[in-house]
Amino acid sequence: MARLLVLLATLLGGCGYNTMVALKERVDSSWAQVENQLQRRNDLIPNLVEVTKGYATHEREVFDRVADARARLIAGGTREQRIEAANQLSGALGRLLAIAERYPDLKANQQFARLSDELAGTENRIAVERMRYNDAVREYNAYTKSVPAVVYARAFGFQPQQYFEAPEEAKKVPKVDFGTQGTRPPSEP
Amino acid sequence: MRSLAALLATAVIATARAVEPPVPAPQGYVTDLAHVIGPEVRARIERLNEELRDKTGAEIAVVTVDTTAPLDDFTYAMRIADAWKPGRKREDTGVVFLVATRDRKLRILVGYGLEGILPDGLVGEIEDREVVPAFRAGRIDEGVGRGVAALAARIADARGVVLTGTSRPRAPAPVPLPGWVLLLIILVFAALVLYQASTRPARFRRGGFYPVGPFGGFGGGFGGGGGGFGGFGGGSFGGGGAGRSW
Repeated sequence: MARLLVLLATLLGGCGYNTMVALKERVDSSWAQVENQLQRRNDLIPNLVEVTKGYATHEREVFDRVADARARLIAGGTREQRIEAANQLSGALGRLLAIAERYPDLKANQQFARLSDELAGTENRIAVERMRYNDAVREYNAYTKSVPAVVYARAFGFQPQQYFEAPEEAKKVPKVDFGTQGTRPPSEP
Repeated sequence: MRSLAALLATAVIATARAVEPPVPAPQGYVTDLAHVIGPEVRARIERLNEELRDKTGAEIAVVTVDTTAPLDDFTYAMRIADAWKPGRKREDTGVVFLVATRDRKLRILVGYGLEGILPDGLVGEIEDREVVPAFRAGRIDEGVGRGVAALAARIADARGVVLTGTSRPRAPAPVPLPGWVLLLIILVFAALVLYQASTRPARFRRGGFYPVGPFGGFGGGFGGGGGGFGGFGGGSFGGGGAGRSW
Protein backbone atom coordinates (compact mmCIF):
# COMPACT_ATOMS: atom_id res chain seq x y z
CA MET A 1 0.00 0.00 0.00
CA ALA A 2 2.75 2.41 1.02
CA ARG A 3 4.66 1.50 -2.08
CA LEU A 4 1.64 2.17 -4.21
CA LEU A 5 1.26 5.59 -2.65
CA VAL A 6 4.91 6.43 -3.26
CA LEU A 7 4.56 5.27 -6.83
CA LEU A 8 1.42 7.34 -7.28
CA ALA A 9 3.07 10.43 -5.81
CA THR A 10 6.07 10.02 -8.08
CA LEU A 11 3.85 9.60 -11.10
CA LEU A 12 1.81 12.64 -10.22
CA GLY A 13 4.93 14.68 -9.62
CA GLY A 14 6.31 13.56 -12.93
CA CYS A 15 3.10 14.36 -14.71
CA GLY A 16 3.07 17.92 -13.51
CA TYR A 17 0.64 17.89 -10.63
CA ASN A 18 3.04 20.08 -8.66
CA THR A 19 3.40 22.41 -11.59
CA MET A 20 -0.36 22.81 -11.77
CA VAL A 21 -0.50 23.60 -8.09
CA ALA A 22 2.21 26.23 -8.50
CA LEU A 23 0.56 27.79 -11.54
CA LYS A 24 -2.81 27.89 -9.82
CA GLU A 25 -1.17 29.51 -6.83
CA ARG A 26 0.21 32.24 -9.08
CA VAL A 27 -3.22 32.85 -10.60
CA ASP A 28 -4.72 33.27 -7.15
CA SER A 29 -2.01 35.55 -5.83
CA SER A 30 -2.23 37.74 -8.96
CA TRP A 31 -5.95 37.96 -8.46
CA ALA A 32 -5.38 39.08 -4.87
CA GLN A 33 -3.31 41.96 -6.24
CA VAL A 34 -6.13 42.89 -8.60
CA GLU A 35 -8.51 42.86 -5.65
CA ASN A 36 -6.19 45.13 -3.67
CA GLN A 37 -6.30 47.75 -6.37
CA LEU A 38 -10.06 47.41 -6.85
CA GLN A 39 -10.42 47.98 -3.13
CA ARG A 40 -8.15 51.01 -3.27
CA ARG A 41 -10.28 52.46 -6.03
CA ASN A 42 -13.47 51.80 -4.11
CA ASP A 43 -12.00 53.68 -1.15
CA LEU A 44 -11.20 56.70 -3.28
CA ILE A 45 -14.65 57.07 -4.76
CA PRO A 46 -16.61 58.61 -1.86
CA ASN A 47 -14.21 61.57 -1.62
CA LEU A 48 -14.17 62.09 -5.34
CA VAL A 49 -17.95 62.01 -5.55
CA GLU A 50 -18.18 64.36 -2.61
CA VAL A 51 -15.99 67.01 -4.24
CA THR A 52 -17.70 66.62 -7.59
CA LYS A 53 -21.17 66.93 -6.10
CA GLY A 54 -20.26 70.33 -4.71
CA TYR A 55 -19.90 71.71 -8.22
CA ALA A 56 -22.02 69.51 -10.45
CA THR A 57 -25.31 69.19 -8.63
CA HIS A 58 -27.32 68.21 -11.69
CA GLU A 59 -25.42 65.08 -12.59
CA ARG A 60 -27.48 62.76 -10.44
CA GLU A 61 -27.53 60.01 -13.05
CA VAL A 62 -23.74 59.79 -13.16
CA PHE A 63 -23.48 59.66 -9.38
CA ASP A 64 -26.11 56.96 -9.18
CA ARG A 65 -24.33 54.88 -11.74
CA VAL A 66 -21.04 55.11 -9.84
CA ALA A 67 -22.70 54.29 -6.52
CA ASP A 68 -24.50 51.37 -8.12
CA ALA A 69 -21.40 49.81 -9.65
CA ARG A 70 -19.41 50.39 -6.49
CA ALA A 71 -22.06 48.70 -4.35
CA ARG A 72 -22.12 45.75 -6.71
CA LEU A 73 -18.36 45.37 -6.38
CA ILE A 74 -18.54 45.52 -2.61
CA ALA A 75 -21.29 42.90 -2.59
CA GLY A 76 -18.76 40.30 -3.72
CA GLY A 77 -19.76 37.29 -5.81
CA THR A 78 -17.82 35.05 -8.10
CA ARG A 79 -14.69 36.21 -9.84
CA GLU A 80 -16.65 36.50 -13.05
CA GLN A 81 -19.25 38.76 -11.43
CA ARG A 82 -16.57 40.87 -9.86
CA ILE A 83 -14.79 41.37 -13.16
CA GLU A 84 -18.04 42.51 -14.69
CA ALA A 85 -18.75 44.90 -11.83
CA ALA A 86 -15.19 46.27 -11.98
CA ASN A 87 -15.55 47.01 -15.68
CA GLN A 88 -18.89 48.66 -15.10
CA LEU A 89 -17.36 50.86 -12.43
CA SER A 90 -14.51 51.85 -14.75
CA GLY A 91 -17.06 53.02 -17.29
CA ALA A 92 -19.07 54.95 -14.71
CA LEU A 93 -15.96 56.65 -13.33
CA GLY A 94 -14.91 57.64 -16.82
CA ARG A 95 -18.21 59.45 -17.14
CA LEU A 96 -17.81 61.03 -13.73
CA LEU A 97 -14.44 62.50 -14.65
CA ALA A 98 -15.71 63.58 -18.04
CA ILE A 99 -18.26 65.91 -16.48
CA ALA A 100 -15.36 67.98 -15.12
CA GLU A 101 -14.92 69.26 -18.66
CA ARG A 102 -18.25 71.04 -18.31
CA TYR A 103 -17.46 72.60 -14.93
CA PRO A 104 -14.35 74.78 -15.08
CA ASP A 105 -14.55 75.55 -11.36
CA LEU A 106 -14.48 71.86 -10.58
CA LYS A 107 -11.52 71.36 -12.86
CA ALA A 108 -9.70 74.17 -11.11
CA ASN A 109 -10.36 72.67 -7.68
CA GLN A 110 -7.12 71.41 -6.27
CA GLN A 111 -8.65 68.60 -4.29
CA PHE A 112 -10.45 67.40 -7.38
CA ALA A 113 -7.18 67.49 -9.31
CA ARG A 114 -5.47 65.44 -6.63
CA LEU A 115 -8.27 62.89 -6.42
CA SER A 116 -8.44 62.50 -10.20
CA ASP A 117 -4.70 61.84 -10.24
CA GLU A 118 -5.13 59.23 -7.53
CA LEU A 119 -7.99 57.66 -9.43
CA ALA A 120 -6.13 57.65 -12.74
CA GLY A 121 -3.09 56.16 -10.98
CA THR A 122 -5.25 53.46 -9.45
CA GLU A 123 -6.82 52.65 -12.79
CA ASN A 124 -3.29 52.26 -14.13
CA ARG A 125 -2.38 49.98 -11.25
CA ILE A 126 -5.49 47.92 -11.95
CA ALA A 127 -4.41 47.69 -15.58
CA VAL A 128 -0.95 46.50 -14.56
CA GLU A 129 -2.26 43.90 -12.12
CA ARG A 130 -4.87 42.81 -14.64
CA MET A 131 -2.14 42.15 -17.16
CA ARG A 132 -0.10 40.17 -14.64
CA TYR A 133 -3.19 38.18 -13.67
CA ASN A 134 -4.00 37.43 -17.30
CA ASP A 135 -0.43 36.29 -17.89
CA ALA A 136 -0.77 33.89 -14.97
CA VAL A 137 -4.11 32.61 -16.26
CA ARG A 138 -2.70 32.15 -19.75
CA GLU A 139 0.15 30.05 -18.46
CA TYR A 140 -2.09 28.01 -16.17
CA ASN A 141 -4.73 27.39 -18.81
CA ALA A 142 -2.16 26.47 -21.43
CA TYR A 143 -0.59 23.99 -19.06
CA THR A 144 -3.80 22.32 -17.92
CA LYS A 145 -4.88 21.90 -21.53
CA SER A 146 -1.62 20.33 -22.57
CA VAL A 147 -0.85 16.60 -22.50
CA PRO A 148 -0.59 14.94 -20.05
CA ALA A 149 -2.13 17.37 -17.58
CA VAL A 150 -5.33 17.57 -19.58
CA VAL A 151 -6.02 13.90 -18.83
CA TYR A 152 -6.42 14.40 -15.11
CA ALA A 153 -6.53 18.17 -14.48
CA ARG A 154 -10.32 18.13 -14.14
CA ALA A 155 -10.25 15.09 -11.94
CA PHE A 156 -8.14 17.00 -9.43
CA GLY A 157 -10.34 20.05 -9.67
CA PHE A 158 -8.09 22.22 -11.82
CA GLN A 159 -10.74 24.15 -13.69
CA PRO A 160 -9.82 26.57 -16.47
CA GLN A 161 -9.49 30.09 -15.04
CA GLN A 162 -11.20 33.16 -16.35
CA TYR A 163 -9.35 36.06 -17.94
CA PHE A 164 -9.96 39.60 -16.77
CA GLU A 165 -11.12 41.01 -20.06
CA ALA A 166 -11.65 44.73 -20.07
CA PRO A 167 -13.89 46.31 -22.68
CA GLU A 168 -12.13 48.88 -24.84
CA GLU A 169 -13.79 51.80 -23.09
CA ALA A 170 -12.75 50.52 -19.68
CA LYS A 171 -9.16 50.08 -20.82
CA LYS A 172 -8.97 53.76 -21.45
CA VAL A 173 -7.93 55.32 -18.23
CA PRO A 174 -10.34 58.10 -17.33
CA LYS A 175 -8.48 61.31 -17.77
CA VAL A 176 -9.14 64.86 -16.93
CA ASP A 177 -6.85 66.90 -19.06
CA PHE A 178 -5.44 69.43 -16.69
CA GLY A 179 -2.64 70.01 -19.12
CA THR A 180 -4.31 71.69 -22.03
CA GLN A 181 -6.50 74.34 -20.50
CA GLY A 182 -5.92 76.79 -17.73
CA THR A 183 -3.58 76.11 -14.88
CA ARG A 184 -4.08 74.87 -11.45
CA PRO A 185 -4.10 77.65 -8.87
CA PRO A 186 -0.86 77.88 -6.94
CA SER A 187 -0.94 75.35 -4.17
CA GLU A 188 -0.57 76.11 -0.53
CA PRO A 189 2.93 75.41 0.70
CA MET B 1 6.46 16.37 -22.64
CA ARG B 2 6.39 18.95 -19.95
CA SER B 3 9.49 20.63 -21.28
CA LEU B 4 8.00 20.56 -24.76
CA ALA B 5 4.88 22.33 -23.52
CA ALA B 6 7.04 24.83 -21.70
CA LEU B 7 9.11 25.32 -24.82
CA LEU B 8 6.01 25.91 -26.91
CA ALA B 9 4.62 28.34 -24.38
CA THR B 10 7.93 30.21 -24.33
CA ALA B 11 7.99 30.32 -28.11
CA VAL B 12 4.47 31.72 -28.21
CA ILE B 13 5.30 34.34 -25.60
CA ALA B 14 8.55 35.19 -27.38
CA THR B 15 6.81 35.80 -30.71
CA ALA B 16 4.08 37.82 -29.01
CA ARG B 17 6.73 40.01 -27.38
CA ALA B 18 8.84 40.24 -30.53
CA VAL B 19 6.31 42.31 -32.46
CA GLU B 20 6.32 44.96 -29.79
CA PRO B 21 8.76 47.84 -30.20
CA PRO B 22 11.97 47.52 -28.23
CA VAL B 23 12.81 49.71 -25.29
CA PRO B 24 15.94 51.88 -25.54
CA ALA B 25 18.94 51.07 -23.36
CA PRO B 26 19.63 53.42 -20.44
CA GLN B 27 22.56 55.77 -20.96
CA GLY B 28 22.86 56.78 -17.33
CA TYR B 29 20.50 58.72 -15.14
CA VAL B 30 19.61 60.86 -18.14
CA THR B 31 18.78 59.15 -21.43
CA ASP B 32 18.16 62.10 -23.67
CA LEU B 33 17.03 60.56 -26.94
CA ALA B 34 15.13 63.71 -27.96
CA HIS B 35 18.22 65.87 -27.38
CA VAL B 36 16.49 68.44 -25.23
CA ILE B 37 18.55 68.36 -22.03
CA GLY B 38 21.49 70.76 -21.84
CA PRO B 39 24.81 69.73 -20.29
CA GLU B 40 24.28 71.88 -17.22
CA VAL B 41 20.88 70.41 -16.31
CA ARG B 42 22.13 66.94 -17.13
CA ALA B 43 25.09 67.38 -14.77
CA ARG B 44 22.79 68.73 -12.08
CA ILE B 45 20.40 65.77 -12.40
CA GLU B 46 23.29 63.31 -12.30
CA ARG B 47 24.81 64.91 -9.21
CA LEU B 48 21.46 64.99 -7.47
CA ASN B 49 20.81 61.36 -8.35
CA GLU B 50 24.16 60.19 -7.03
CA GLU B 51 23.60 61.98 -3.78
CA LEU B 52 20.03 60.72 -3.56
CA ARG B 53 21.09 57.16 -4.20
CA ASP B 54 23.88 57.30 -1.65
CA LYS B 55 21.66 58.81 1.02
CA THR B 56 18.29 57.13 0.40
CA GLY B 57 18.71 54.39 -2.21
CA ALA B 58 16.24 56.12 -4.54
CA GLU B 59 17.00 56.63 -8.22
CA ILE B 60 15.26 58.89 -10.73
CA ALA B 61 15.66 57.76 -14.33
CA VAL B 62 15.04 60.56 -16.82
CA VAL B 63 14.23 59.62 -20.40
CA THR B 64 13.26 61.87 -23.27
CA VAL B 65 11.96 60.62 -26.63
CA ASP B 66 10.31 62.23 -29.64
CA THR B 67 7.31 59.99 -29.42
CA THR B 68 6.15 56.88 -27.59
CA ALA B 69 4.10 55.71 -30.59
CA PRO B 70 2.70 53.19 -31.14
CA LEU B 71 2.41 52.86 -27.37
CA ASP B 72 0.73 55.37 -25.13
CA ASP B 73 2.93 57.27 -22.69
CA PHE B 74 1.94 55.18 -19.68
CA THR B 75 2.61 51.84 -21.33
CA TYR B 76 5.90 53.08 -22.72
CA ALA B 77 7.01 54.37 -19.34
CA MET B 78 6.02 51.05 -17.74
CA ARG B 79 8.15 49.19 -20.29
CA ILE B 80 11.09 51.42 -19.44
CA ALA B 81 10.50 50.87 -15.72
CA ASP B 82 10.30 47.08 -16.12
CA ALA B 83 13.40 46.98 -18.30
CA TRP B 84 15.66 49.45 -16.48
CA LYS B 85 14.45 48.88 -12.93
CA PRO B 86 15.60 52.06 -11.24
CA GLY B 87 15.57 52.04 -7.46
CA ARG B 88 16.99 49.66 -4.92
CA LYS B 89 16.02 46.05 -5.31
CA ARG B 90 13.16 44.86 -3.04
CA GLU B 91 12.82 48.38 -1.64
CA ASP B 92 11.56 49.46 -5.07
CA THR B 93 12.64 53.05 -4.65
CA GLY B 94 12.73 54.09 -8.28
CA VAL B 95 11.16 56.84 -10.36
CA VAL B 96 10.84 57.06 -14.15
CA PHE B 97 10.51 60.56 -15.57
CA LEU B 98 9.44 60.29 -19.20
CA VAL B 99 9.07 63.20 -21.62
CA ALA B 100 7.76 62.69 -25.16
CA THR B 101 8.46 66.00 -26.87
CA ARG B 102 6.53 65.59 -30.08
CA ASP B 103 3.55 64.01 -28.29
CA ARG B 104 3.78 66.80 -25.70
CA LYS B 105 3.33 64.22 -22.98
CA LEU B 106 4.90 63.87 -19.61
CA ARG B 107 4.69 60.78 -17.39
CA ILE B 108 6.20 60.19 -13.99
CA LEU B 109 6.07 56.64 -12.65
CA VAL B 110 6.74 55.86 -9.02
CA GLY B 111 8.10 52.53 -7.77
CA TYR B 112 6.21 50.51 -5.16
CA GLY B 113 8.48 51.62 -2.35
CA LEU B 114 7.94 55.33 -2.98
CA GLU B 115 4.17 55.28 -3.46
CA GLY B 116 3.69 56.27 0.15
CA ILE B 117 5.82 59.41 0.00
CA LEU B 118 5.01 60.27 -3.61
CA PRO B 119 1.29 59.57 -3.98
CA ASP B 120 -0.22 60.13 -7.42
CA GLY B 121 -1.89 63.35 -6.36
CA LEU B 122 1.39 64.85 -5.21
CA VAL B 123 3.16 63.76 -8.37
CA GLY B 124 0.44 65.48 -10.41
CA GLU B 125 0.86 68.59 -8.31
CA ILE B 126 4.63 68.64 -8.85
CA GLU B 127 4.00 68.27 -12.57
CA ASP B 128 1.54 71.14 -12.59
CA ARG B 129 3.65 73.42 -10.47
CA GLU B 130 7.24 72.70 -11.50
CA VAL B 131 7.25 71.05 -14.89
CA VAL B 132 4.31 71.98 -17.09
CA PRO B 133 4.77 75.80 -16.91
CA ALA B 134 8.37 75.53 -18.13
CA PHE B 135 7.39 73.02 -20.81
CA ARG B 136 4.67 75.36 -22.07
CA ALA B 137 7.25 78.09 -22.33
CA GLY B 138 9.36 75.74 -24.44
CA ARG B 139 12.03 75.24 -21.80
CA ILE B 140 12.08 71.46 -21.59
CA ASP B 141 15.32 71.03 -19.71
CA GLU B 142 14.38 73.59 -17.10
CA GLY B 143 11.10 71.76 -16.50
CA VAL B 144 12.84 68.40 -16.19
CA GLY B 145 15.46 69.86 -13.84
CA ARG B 146 12.86 71.45 -11.61
CA GLY B 147 10.70 68.34 -11.61
CA VAL B 148 13.57 66.04 -10.67
CA ALA B 149 14.70 68.48 -7.97
CA ALA B 150 11.19 68.57 -6.47
CA LEU B 151 10.87 64.77 -6.50
CA ALA B 152 14.33 64.34 -4.98
CA ALA B 153 13.61 66.96 -2.31
CA ARG B 154 10.39 65.21 -1.35
CA ILE B 155 12.09 61.82 -1.08
CA ALA B 156 14.98 63.27 0.95
CA ASP B 157 12.56 65.09 3.19
CA ALA B 158 10.53 61.96 3.90
CA ARG B 159 13.70 60.02 4.66
CA GLY B 160 15.04 62.74 6.91
CA VAL B 161 18.15 63.58 4.91
CA VAL B 162 19.32 66.82 3.36
CA LEU B 163 20.47 67.05 -0.23
CA THR B 164 23.11 69.65 -0.89
CA GLY B 165 22.91 69.21 -4.63
CA THR B 166 26.58 70.01 -4.93
CA SER B 167 28.86 67.87 -2.84
CA ARG B 168 29.72 64.45 -4.02
CA PRO B 169 30.78 61.85 -1.50
CA ARG B 170 33.37 60.59 -3.95
CA ALA B 171 36.59 62.42 -4.67
CA PRO B 172 35.89 65.24 -7.09
CA ALA B 173 36.66 64.35 -10.66
CA PRO B 174 39.96 65.88 -11.70
CA VAL B 175 39.61 68.53 -14.33
CA PRO B 176 41.44 67.55 -17.50
CA LEU B 177 43.66 70.29 -18.89
CA PRO B 178 43.72 71.07 -22.56
CA GLY B 179 46.91 70.00 -24.31
CA TRP B 180 48.15 73.50 -25.10
CA VAL B 181 47.93 74.60 -21.46
CA LEU B 182 50.12 71.69 -20.43
CA LEU B 183 52.59 72.47 -23.19
CA LEU B 184 52.72 76.08 -22.05
CA ILE B 185 53.37 75.04 -18.47
CA ILE B 186 56.17 72.72 -19.58
CA LEU B 187 57.72 75.47 -21.65
CA VAL B 188 57.50 77.96 -18.78
CA PHE B 189 59.11 75.52 -16.38
CA ALA B 190 61.75 74.59 -18.88
CA ALA B 191 62.49 78.25 -19.48
CA LEU B 192 62.58 78.88 -15.74
CA VAL B 193 64.92 75.97 -15.10
CA LEU B 194 67.18 76.93 -17.98
CA TYR B 195 67.22 80.53 -16.79
CA GLN B 196 68.06 79.55 -13.25
CA ALA B 197 70.63 77.07 -14.43
CA SER B 198 72.35 79.70 -16.49
CA THR B 199 72.31 82.36 -13.77
CA ARG B 200 72.79 80.30 -10.62
CA PRO B 201 74.24 76.93 -11.51
CA ALA B 202 75.14 76.02 -7.94
CA ARG B 203 71.62 76.27 -6.64
CA PHE B 204 70.23 74.31 -9.53
CA ARG B 205 72.47 71.38 -8.74
CA ARG B 206 71.54 71.45 -5.07
CA GLY B 207 67.83 71.91 -5.59
CA GLY B 208 67.36 68.93 -7.83
CA PHE B 209 64.54 68.56 -10.31
CA TYR B 210 61.90 71.11 -9.63
CA PRO B 211 59.79 70.19 -12.61
CA VAL B 212 59.14 66.69 -11.35
CA GLY B 213 56.69 67.76 -8.63
CA PRO B 214 54.30 69.69 -10.82
CA PHE B 215 54.41 67.05 -13.51
CA GLY B 216 53.31 64.40 -11.08
CA GLY B 217 50.42 66.57 -9.99
CA PHE B 218 49.13 67.27 -13.42
CA GLY B 219 49.39 63.67 -14.43
CA GLY B 220 46.28 62.95 -12.35
CA GLY B 221 44.28 65.32 -14.46
CA PHE B 222 44.39 62.94 -17.35
CA GLY B 223 43.73 59.71 -15.55
CA GLY B 224 40.23 60.43 -14.21
CA GLY B 225 37.07 61.60 -15.84
CA GLY B 226 35.42 58.22 -16.61
CA GLY B 227 33.14 57.37 -13.71
CA GLY B 228 30.83 55.17 -15.81
CA PHE B 229 27.15 54.38 -15.08
CA GLY B 230 26.86 51.12 -13.22
CA GLY B 231 23.20 50.44 -14.05
CA PHE B 232 20.09 50.84 -11.97
CA GLY B 233 19.34 48.97 -8.76
CA GLY B 234 16.50 46.59 -9.65
CA GLY B 235 13.31 48.25 -8.38
CA SER B 236 9.77 47.21 -9.34
CA PHE B 237 6.84 49.33 -10.41
CA GLY B 238 3.11 48.82 -10.15
CA GLY B 239 1.81 51.67 -12.27
CA GLY B 240 1.65 54.47 -9.69
CA GLY B 241 2.35 58.06 -10.70
CA ALA B 242 0.72 60.70 -12.86
CA GLY B 243 0.90 62.11 -16.36
CA ARG B 244 0.19 65.38 -18.12
CA SER B 245 0.06 66.77 -21.60
CA TRP B 246 1.17 70.31 -22.31
